[in-house]
Amino acid sequence: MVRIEGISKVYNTGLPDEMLAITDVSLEIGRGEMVVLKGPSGSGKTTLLGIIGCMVRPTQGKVVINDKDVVKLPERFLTQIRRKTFGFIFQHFNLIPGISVRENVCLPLYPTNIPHAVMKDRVQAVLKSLEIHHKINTEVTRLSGGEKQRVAIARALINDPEMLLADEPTAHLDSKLSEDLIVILRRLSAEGKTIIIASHDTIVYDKPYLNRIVEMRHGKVIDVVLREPLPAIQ
Amino acid sequence: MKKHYRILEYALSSLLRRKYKNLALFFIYTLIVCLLSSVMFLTHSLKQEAINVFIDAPELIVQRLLGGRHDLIPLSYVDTIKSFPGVATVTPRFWGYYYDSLTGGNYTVMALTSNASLNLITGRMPEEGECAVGKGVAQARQLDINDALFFTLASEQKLMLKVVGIFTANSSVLTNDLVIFDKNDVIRFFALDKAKATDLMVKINNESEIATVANKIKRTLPDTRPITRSEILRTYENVFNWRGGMALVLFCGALLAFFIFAWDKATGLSAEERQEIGILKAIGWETSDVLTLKFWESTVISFTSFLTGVILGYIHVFEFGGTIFVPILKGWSILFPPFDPMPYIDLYQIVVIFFLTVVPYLASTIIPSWKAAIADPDTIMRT
Repeated sequence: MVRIEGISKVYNTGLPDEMLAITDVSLEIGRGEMVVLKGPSGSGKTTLLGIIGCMVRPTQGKVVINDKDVVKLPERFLTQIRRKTFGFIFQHFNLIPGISVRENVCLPLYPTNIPHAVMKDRVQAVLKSLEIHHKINTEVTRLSGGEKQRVAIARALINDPEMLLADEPTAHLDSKLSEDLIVILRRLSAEGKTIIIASHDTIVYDKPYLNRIVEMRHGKVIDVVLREPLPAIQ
Repeated sequence: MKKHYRILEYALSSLLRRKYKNLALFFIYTLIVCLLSSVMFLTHSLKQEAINVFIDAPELIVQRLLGGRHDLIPLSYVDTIKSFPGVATVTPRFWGYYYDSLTGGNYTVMALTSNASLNLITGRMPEEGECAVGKGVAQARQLDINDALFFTLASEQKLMLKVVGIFTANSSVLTNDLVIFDKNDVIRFFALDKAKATDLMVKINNESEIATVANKIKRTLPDTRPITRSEILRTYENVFNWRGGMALVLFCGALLAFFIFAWDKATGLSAEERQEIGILKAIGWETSDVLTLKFWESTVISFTSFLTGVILGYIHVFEFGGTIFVPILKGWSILFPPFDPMPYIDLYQIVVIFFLTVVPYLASTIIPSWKAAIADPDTIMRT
């Protein structure tokens, strides 16, 4: 599903603050896998996640998503790929303040021509599956950290993407909420979604049901652990 | 269509989200449009006044100068001028200025002449012992038909005249400070020599001969000063152009303020706005969707501000007489009684204000958004 070959990313090329974020990274992730990109802060996890999700354009290398090289594609095609293929869960939730849970979750659907009734049903369904539907009309800044995270997941799922990308999803959650989140992600994986998580939290990468743990340091992949995961929970 | 409707809906909710910022923006924008449109409405109205005054102006006026000073003109000159070929009529005019200490205004007191294009609102034109007043004077002195109007003569005696008519004219400049008396009353009022008039109004058969007749009068009667309508027009033009120039200064000031305001918007998006664009792009919004959103946001702000500003400008100028600019734009002679600009509106003016305010604002909000939206979501959120 995702194949990365010899990817490098340099930020601020030619400027005094030029920074090499990742160097010569190659990786392959299959459909339905649950993968963790593990490593300390500054190791290049977020950049690699951004490259996989077509949010960051690599300086060098090849990114093949569903058999299509996306590196040279114009921005409007990348947008379509982002919309159809990926759902993003950001480190700081990145919800739009001042609007309700419903509006935040609907945002990815606004620029589509999906009928209003379908949109309404989808929002209800996704919020219900994440047990946050009772907060549908609440303004997002009034939610707790765990609730915000569920809304962010709901927004990522509203387009029914093939792949879910989560950047440090437990960074602002306590251990109980982090465990709850992992349960949700595991369930989504069981439903057939490919899940890629960038995290340096042991709660995330010590789980036995992960298919692959990619360890990064100083912008390089130093180790890839492949596992036969435990059967998915029902 | 559904897509645009939803983006518009989201644009409105975005505006409400930042309601204090947007209210401040709306207030400043409206104020600037109001200033610009007030200046435009007022200068246009003043120019129209000038044209209307010109319509009522005589073709040729003959005054007498003594030692460089305006003096009364002997009525014996009437027959001399009448004898020139091309002259149709010569009418003596009896008039002068009167300072009304009660209201602090200057009135033009004039004997009734046949060419004055005055429209009576009520009553009739005066006979001896009576007067007719312009609408502005009637309002200033709260006069109605059959009321008595007192004047203080040079001899400190009081002159009481009965108001028998209230009139308007094409130009409110004429309506506002004019009082019409019977000829004998004017002579008594200003203690004029019965053999003299204030000036002579000359009607010429062929307009192209006005300058020739004026020259002939000057040569034959060297102590006279013939003033043609074109010279009067030039004087008015100078006066109104000067005022127009002042208006232009104000206009430029307001415009400059607007461009500073637009530049401030154009110099960049706030971190919050950039973050929002980045999120929208990351979750699948195309650059064109982001631009549509920004277009709707700017359109709502600029159109509501534009319409409110123009309406407030109209009310300011035509309902409240342009209170802010009147001391600069009008001359001393028409400062009092109050001058009400006539509502002359030109669609061209509205279009000019639109292009000077709405278009730069739309550009100044959409261009930075476009610059941000064409980048990768990650780049947008990082910068």
